[in-house]
This record gives sequence, C-alpha cells and structure tokens, in this order.
Amino acid sequence: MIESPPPWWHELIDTAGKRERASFGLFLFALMLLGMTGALRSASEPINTDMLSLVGVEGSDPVKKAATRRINHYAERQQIWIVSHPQFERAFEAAKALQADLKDSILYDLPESAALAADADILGIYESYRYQLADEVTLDLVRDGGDTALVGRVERNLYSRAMVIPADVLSEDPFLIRTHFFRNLFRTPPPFAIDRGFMAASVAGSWYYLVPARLTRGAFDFAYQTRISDFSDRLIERYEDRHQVRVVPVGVISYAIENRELALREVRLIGVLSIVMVTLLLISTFRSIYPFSAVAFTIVSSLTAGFFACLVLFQSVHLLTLIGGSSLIGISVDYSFHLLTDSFRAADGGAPSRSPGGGFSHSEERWRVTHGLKTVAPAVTLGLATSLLGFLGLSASGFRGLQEIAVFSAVGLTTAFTGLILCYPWLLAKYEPTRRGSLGLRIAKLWSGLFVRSEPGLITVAALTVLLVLIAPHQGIDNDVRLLAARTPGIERLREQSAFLAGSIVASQFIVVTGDSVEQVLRKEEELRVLLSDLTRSGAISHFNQLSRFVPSARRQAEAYELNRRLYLEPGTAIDLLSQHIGLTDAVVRRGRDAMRETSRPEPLTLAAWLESPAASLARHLWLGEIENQVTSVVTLGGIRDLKLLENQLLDVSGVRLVDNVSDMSAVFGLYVDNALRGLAVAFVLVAGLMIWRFGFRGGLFIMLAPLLSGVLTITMLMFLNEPINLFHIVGLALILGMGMDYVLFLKTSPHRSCAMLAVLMAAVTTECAFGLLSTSAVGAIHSFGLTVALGTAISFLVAPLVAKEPG
Amino acid sequence: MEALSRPLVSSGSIELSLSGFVWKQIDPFHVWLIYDGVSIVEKTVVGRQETLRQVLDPATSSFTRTMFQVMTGSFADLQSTFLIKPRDEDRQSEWSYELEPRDAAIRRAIGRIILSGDTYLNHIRIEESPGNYTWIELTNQRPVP
Repeated sequence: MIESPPPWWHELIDTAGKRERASFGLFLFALMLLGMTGALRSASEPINTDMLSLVGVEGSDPVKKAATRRINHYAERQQIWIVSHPQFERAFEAAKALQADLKDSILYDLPESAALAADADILGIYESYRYQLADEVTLDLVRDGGDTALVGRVERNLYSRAMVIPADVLSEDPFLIRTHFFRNLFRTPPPFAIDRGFMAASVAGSWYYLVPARLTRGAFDFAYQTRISDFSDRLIERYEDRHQVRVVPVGVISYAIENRELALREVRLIGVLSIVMVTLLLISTFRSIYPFSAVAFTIVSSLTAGFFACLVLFQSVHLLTLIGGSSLIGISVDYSFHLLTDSFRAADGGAPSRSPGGGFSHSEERWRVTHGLKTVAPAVTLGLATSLLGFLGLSASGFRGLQEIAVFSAVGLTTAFTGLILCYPWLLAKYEPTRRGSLGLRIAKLWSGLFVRSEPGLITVAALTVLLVLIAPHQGIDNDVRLLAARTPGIERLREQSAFLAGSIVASQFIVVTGDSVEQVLRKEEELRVLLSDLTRSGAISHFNQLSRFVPSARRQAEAYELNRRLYLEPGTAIDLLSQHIGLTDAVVRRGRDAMRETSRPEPLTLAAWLESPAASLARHLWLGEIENQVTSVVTLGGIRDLKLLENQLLDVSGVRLVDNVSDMSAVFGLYVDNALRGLAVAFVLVAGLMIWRFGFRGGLFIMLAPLLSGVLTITMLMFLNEPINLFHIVGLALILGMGMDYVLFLKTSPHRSCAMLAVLMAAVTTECAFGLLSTSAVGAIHSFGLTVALGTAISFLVAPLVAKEPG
Repeated sequence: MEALSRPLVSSGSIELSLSGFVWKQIDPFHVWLIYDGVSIVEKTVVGRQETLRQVLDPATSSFTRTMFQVMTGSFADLQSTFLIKPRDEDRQSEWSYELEPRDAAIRRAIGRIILSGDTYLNHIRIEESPGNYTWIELTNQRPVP
C-alpha cells in the first residue's frame, strides 16, 4: 500500500526544506530552551543513585511512613569501618588510629559510640539517678526469688571467672544492680561485645573491631560519593601498608558508590559499543559522512532532550533511566534509517516510484531529503504515535523509574522525529546517495524476496506460537524489589560484610512504638521487652535495642528506687544477708546505708534531660519524637530468623507496628506490575484503534498480528529461559509494541520494498546491539528489560515482513 | 578485696592442653570455664540443671587469654601485652616473674601479675591494686595422657 502524506505535511516539509537553516536554528533553539529549563529545575544532584527512591511506599500509614523516612535518613548517613587482624591488640590499636583519622577528616562526624559506654563522662548523667536504675532481669529476680536470689547472684558473679568485677564497683554497688544495668544497656549483635570503646568480635581466627562513623552529607550525593570513595581507597591502602591490618567500610554509601560505578561502566559500554555499531553500519551502507553526521546529530539531540525533559519533570534523572535510556541510541535512529534508505530508490531495481505530489517520478531524478521525507512521513508518523502510546502505557504503572524511562524515551523519539523534519534538509543538503546498492541493500532484497507469499509463513509462525505457549514452563510473576539491586562481586562482598555486622547497622526491619505520652511509650517498650526477650532466647531474633533501656519509665525507676531503699534500709534484710554471705566490711555497709538515707525520693530521669546529655549519642536515633500527634520511638532488631513468628507475636500488641520495608516495597512492586499490565493492554487497544482508523478494520487488525505474535513469543521464550516475569519484562513488551509496529509500518507503507527492508534490517541490528548489551547488565531490572527487547526485536524482524504483505 | 572482711575462697581443678583449658570450679559453686583457644563458654550447674553461656565480654576474653598464656608459659605472647621482669625476692620458689601491663586501660583492671613456681607454675597473684587481688595456688600438677 503506497501512502501519500496529508497536505499539511507537504507544507511543513516544503517549508522546512526551503528554510533549512532557519528550521535547524529553530530546532536548536527549542533544544536549548529545554536544556535551560531542565538546568533550572534540576535538583542539586541531577543524577539520582538511590535505587529505593524509585519505589514509593503507598497506602501505608503515616506513622510508618514518617518513621521509615527518618530511619532511612539515619541509616543513609551511617557507615561502619571494620578493622581486622589475627591479633586483637593490633586490631584494637589500628581501630583507635582509624577513629582518630576519621575524626580529623571533614568528610565525617564521629558519634560517641557504645564504646564509650564504658566512659564515665558519657554516662555521667546516670550518677544522679543511680538508685533508680535496675534492669528487668534484676527486678524479676527479686520479684520471683526474693532478696536471697539477688544475694545468690552477687555471690555467683564474684566467684565466676566469666565476669570481671573491679574492687571499686563492689564498694559502690555491692548488689551489682547498676553493674547489671550498664552491662545490659546496649545489646550488641553476637558475636560482638564491647572492648575499650569498640564493638569487637573474634571470628574464624581474626579479631574484628568496628569503628562507626557518620557522613556529613547524604549517601546519594554524587560529588560526596567521589570524595568518600577516594578517601576510603587511600585509607585502606595506608592501613594495609603501615599497620598491616585490613579495613573495610560498610554502609549505604558503599552500596551507592558500587551501584554508581557499575551504572557508569554499563552506560559507557553500551553507549560506546552502540555508537561504534551505528557508525560502522552507516559508513558501510551509505559510504558518505553526511548520513553519519545526521544520525550522530539525532542520537545526541534525542539523548539530550530526553535527559533534560526528565530534569524538568522529575528534577533528577535516575541511574536506571540513564542505563535504560542509553539504549535509546539503538531506536532513535530508526526514523533516520527509513529516510536514508529511501535514497537508494534509484538502486532499487530502477523501479518507477509514485511521486508524493501525485503522478510518477523517474527514479533517476536526484534524491532529495524533502522527497524522502514525504515518502516516509506516513510510516514514521504512525510509528512515533504507536511508540508514544506504548510509553504512555508504561507511565500508567505509577513506578517512578518507568515513568522516567517513558518520558526519556518518548521525548527522545519525538526529538528524533522532529529533527528529521527540521534538521535533515540542512544536514543532508550535500548528500549524494550512491546509485549502486550497498551489500546491505542486496541482503535486504534477498530477504524481502523470501516473503513473496506470506500466508504459509504466517500460519507456521502462528502454529509454532500456539505450540510453544502450550509446552512452555510456567514461571510466575516476580515482585521482588531486589530486582533493582545489582549483582557484582563488589556488591556481593558488601552484602557478606553487612550480614556479618547483622544488626550493628540499622536494618530495613524494625518496630515502631507509639503512645500518647513519653511515659506511655516507655512502658509499652518495657512490656514489649518481655516478648522480644523470649524471641531472643528462642532464636527467632538475635538481639534488639530499645530507648527504654537507656531511659527507664518513671514507673520502672520508682520500682528500682523502692528496691534499693528496701535493700539498704529495711532492718535485717538484704545488705545484712549479703554481708553474711560474702563478708562485706562494716564500712561498705555503712557507706551504702548512709548514701541511701541521704537520697530523698528523687525526680525520675526524663527523656528530655537524657536527650541533652552526652549519653544520648548512644541511642538518640531510637527517638522519633512526635509523628501525627503520636509520641514515637523505634526498636531496632537484629538477626531476624523467623519473621513470621515475630509478625504473629506483635499482632495483638497495641501501639506497636512492625515495619518491613523489603516486604512493603515488594508489595508495592506487585501493584506496579498490575498497573503496567493494564497500561500495556490499554496501549495495545489504542494502537489497534489507530491502525483500524488508518488501514480499515480488516487491515488494522491484521497489522496488529505483528506485535501480538512478537509479544506472546517473547514471553514464551522468556519462560523457556527460566525467567520469572517481572515489571521490567513488561516494560520491554511496551517497547516491542512500538518497534514492532515501526517495522510493519515501514514495510507496509513504503513504495520501495527493498529500501524499507534495509531500514528495518539496520534498525533491528542496532536495536539488537543496544539491548543485547543491556541484557548483560548486572542489575536484574536492566537485564530483564534488555533481554525482552532483544528477543522481541528478533521476533518482530521475522514477523513484520509476513504481516506487512497482506494476503490476497 | 578491701570491700570484704574475708577472702572469697574457691577450689577446683584445671585441665590444660596446648589449645585451651577447662577451669572446673567445684566449691562453693559448680562453675566451669571452657576455653578452646577462640571461644569461652561458662557452664553452671545448679542441682541437676546445667546452663551453658557463651562469654562475649572482651574484658573476660582478654583475661582468659592472659591466664592461658600464663599457664602455658607463653612468654613470647605475654610480652606483647606485659612488661616481664624477674623477681629475686621470692625465696620459696625457684623462679618468680612480675608482669606489668603495657596498656593503661588494662592496668586499670590488672595492676600487675606475679608468677612463681619450680618445676611447674605454683602461684599466680593478680593484683588490681595492693588491697585487691586474686591469689591462685596450683597443687598436684601432673601431665595426663
């Protein structure tokens, strides 16, 4: 079917052709305007490296959302340096030196760590409240076993080789109540314990000391990442050389840097190889610098426009978009190929062609861009329309990442299309197409000749499709948000190290406790502690940390005070019993009693006072303040081995919510998949409607066989490759819809079948190159996307000639 | 201890090997400290009930490791942590050494360690300060197959 463009197209193309420079200038001006707007709208960090920022946690309650945001903000700035050596003293000395180096650097703030839990200055605030401090184990012991049980514990502790009790501690705290309170203040994840200010552990013959540090800027700040990366590399090398110890930094920023470097490597690789392929293809086919310059201009302008359009709409461009968008190099050139291959019409058997102005023009007339544009206009316009509809379907998913890719690609393709009309008349003004067909044209002719009769081929493909669908293994849908994570040796190493730290850094699962007042929250935490302690003993979790360990509720403090008062002052009770058992001197007994007498019932230690003290640095992050008129704190968890049990146990506890970011995000991902599928279905219907409007009911439906067969066969092939279907496969299908339609439309509407086939061949080769490279990405999402489009392109290339040649 | 009018006395046995030891306290409590060169486990027996607890406290780890080095005579390892000086004033033993911690943090917990013996190590005195010390007397030492 030979198409003529509508009259207004004539005018537009002719005008652009007559005013080449003005049109080119207009295009550049528009691009510049977009660039300036994008630059003004851009966030301070135009490149977003935070993978999880793409996934919104929708529908969750505002307290959970706010708590997650604050915890994420805290976790984002947390970094832990692991210092290891077979000898503990060497590891300790290196840890001290490293701590000093990090303190001197402007890139870090160093928190007062649990290390300093041994330091009297940090714990000074507790001195005024010393008779109000008792942990629940002590209180339970006395409640269940009386004073005898408490005395028995002191004896066992003194005789134990496993508990070192300094002499001055026994004088000041003969019942060891405060000793046990401070020992239980901060729970370290096993196998760590606190040694002279550092969390330390001996594992597999090496000693590991942890030096915590806080970043002065966010982990996703691009420039800051570079500085941290350089600083870390220098420090690691220096400690290995000078101290012969191994130091490894772990934290969100380490992941962010690895992801960033991976993304840049992949963008460079895909970009360079795609450009090399396109260059070789162009030079070998057209044997002229002008087509190459024109196509290079298309690639640059479409990538630039896509990038700045994302900045305008989203204020930043995600790494995922850059990687996916770099594949635009492979598809933005399709329209250029269709136009440029039209210049071979003279070499296409010398067949007379219908002039777009009506009548037939001799094929020996010199080819002009405007003639070519008028010939290819119907196909490229419809092609753009179908591609844009496909991207519209993508953006309906609600997933920010896909919306960015959709905008990037849609604007890029539209720019390529517009550039074709406004810029190519000037860019190709001196282009003299060769009259002798290239090898590519000969191959295209041969290939085209194979599809003289399309019916048997179409029936075969359809039958094969049905058969494969029936025997394909069912893979199911994969909603795991970890698709966004890359799998490289560097990132696997970070995962192992993070698992080793297991709870030393704030994880994605924690408990939010809410109440009407601070006292209520602290009491709820104390009640929750019983349940969590049971879960720790059963192994469901390895440890947990709570604010109420550091600031007991007023009720608990009153209980502790009463206990101490009774132990020291009630005649004939505990202090005397203890004295009998272990032989406390009269001086110690007297001192204890006198001190207790001098202490009138004190005011409890308040959270406000604690937050003002140096001790707050140990656990300030557990206090979230007021959120939605609810006083809120966080209980951090470590080493969760039975999440289901934990969830069930917390169900009936009021004012307590378990936050599981990974599950929540995966659930949201599931919603995105549903939305994307619906969006794709709607896009398919809209494209079908467009085809029916253009080619009539029968013709339109017949054309839709191409994307339908391509899509179904692609999904089937993915199943045979054991790929569970995920959101990014669906993204790929949307792209196949657009590209598949391009191929069919190029072949169906062009008067020069071989030229159109050459365009399709070149388009398929460049797309295969770009997306084939994407399928090798270490990021699961990008791999899925690339593999789907690579498969779909090959299938579309085979199916398009069958469908374009309508039977009868 | 200065805070106590009488010493705390315990007794038991120690089984020592090249890779670790088992310190079995029998009286007044059944408490075992099991050290295998890496980990430390405390076993408490109360009636028929046995409780095992892994000891993660680095101060205890450090102390246990030191005791192992002392009992096995690993002076090369001890020298990295302690200044070792011979003592002439102990006339009841063939040899006697004083170990002084090099690190100030360790010195707060252990002021000095005095070792003495003849064929075997017989006495260990761990002083936190002059009035606060632990005195370990080892008797009936013998090799076992």
